[in-house]
Amino acid sequence: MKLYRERLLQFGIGEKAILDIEADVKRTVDAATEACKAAPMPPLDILTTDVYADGGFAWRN
Amino acid sequence: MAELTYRDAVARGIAQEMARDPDVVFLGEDVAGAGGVFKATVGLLEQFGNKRVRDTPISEQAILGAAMGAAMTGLKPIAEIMFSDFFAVCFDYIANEIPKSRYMSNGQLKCPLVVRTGNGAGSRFGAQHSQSVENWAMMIPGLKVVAPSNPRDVIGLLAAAVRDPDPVIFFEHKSLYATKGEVPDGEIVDRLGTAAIARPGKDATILALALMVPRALAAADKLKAEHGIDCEVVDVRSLVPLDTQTILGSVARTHRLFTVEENPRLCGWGAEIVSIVADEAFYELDGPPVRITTPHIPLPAADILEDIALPTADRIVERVKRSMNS
Repeated sequence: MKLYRERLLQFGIGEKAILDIEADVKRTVDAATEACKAAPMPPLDILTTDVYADGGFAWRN
Repeated sequence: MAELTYRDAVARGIAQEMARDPDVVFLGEDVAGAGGVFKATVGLLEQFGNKRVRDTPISEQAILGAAMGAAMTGLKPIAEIMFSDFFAVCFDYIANEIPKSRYMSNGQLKCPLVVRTGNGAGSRFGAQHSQSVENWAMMIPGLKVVAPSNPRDVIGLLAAAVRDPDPVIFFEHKSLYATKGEVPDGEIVDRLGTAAIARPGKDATILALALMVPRALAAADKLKAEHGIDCEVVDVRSLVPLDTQTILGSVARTHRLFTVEENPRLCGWGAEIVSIVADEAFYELDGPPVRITTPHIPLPAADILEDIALPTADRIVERVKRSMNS
């Protein structure tokens, strides 16, 4: 990330634009984190759902 | 009905599916212009063109990464990994990416692809090009795993694999490529998750896979002719899904169980089946299940050493006879 920031500066992207991008990323990640924390725990049956295309996890008949 | 080699059956199976569905594409190292290092894909480039039949760089990760992306975006790729031993260099895709995409995306992503690979020993390729690694694949939730023993099953199971909505690892046995068998004309489509009773019998069940199937059949003939022991040989064919109904049904009839496995002993597919039989059919057994395997060694290149490492028909006869008479 540090290298990429330096690269953007070399390309002429201004310091303010980079700070705005970083702030935007932080807001997005923080919002997603809070949404996850506030969400209910998943239903227990999701543990064995969608391993295979039939929706389940059966490996034998 | 025609007589085909196992090698030619691979090309016919791929061609059958590519002709049926324009979304089926095929990629791998030297699979197009050269027709495959084992000559199992000769003619596909000429028949379907270089847009659908593609040679790749020597990078197993690139092959499976490309196949995974193609599958996720709507194609039905068949990818070839020349030697199954090379799964070790692209195992992230096999173990972490391809089989888990559906589960981790809550069913939003799909990865319907087939990975064909040359598996097994008997061709003097040494420790890094001869392994039987079907157990590497069967341990991973999300993958399906098949290993045909004859040309008809190559076509039928390959068609079933291509049409399946899940990723399928398709183990072709290198030492079976030159073998021949009768194959019906027209389209052949089999079902994954089905074992086949290759030889009925009443005294003992012998489970075998791929190259071990003809050896088990030869042993069964000898056991019947020379020792009066009538063995039922079950070609397991599909490790995931596993046809436990056929296996448990056979054990319930014969009351004895032998597995013939080319893999090294530890954690071979037979161990899983023996554990299922112990759990669910213990009181059907008249004796302990017996696993006949390659020892827990890397495979040697020298012919005399490789020959004694793999289970042979004679070793199967000796082990079954000893167990049945004890």
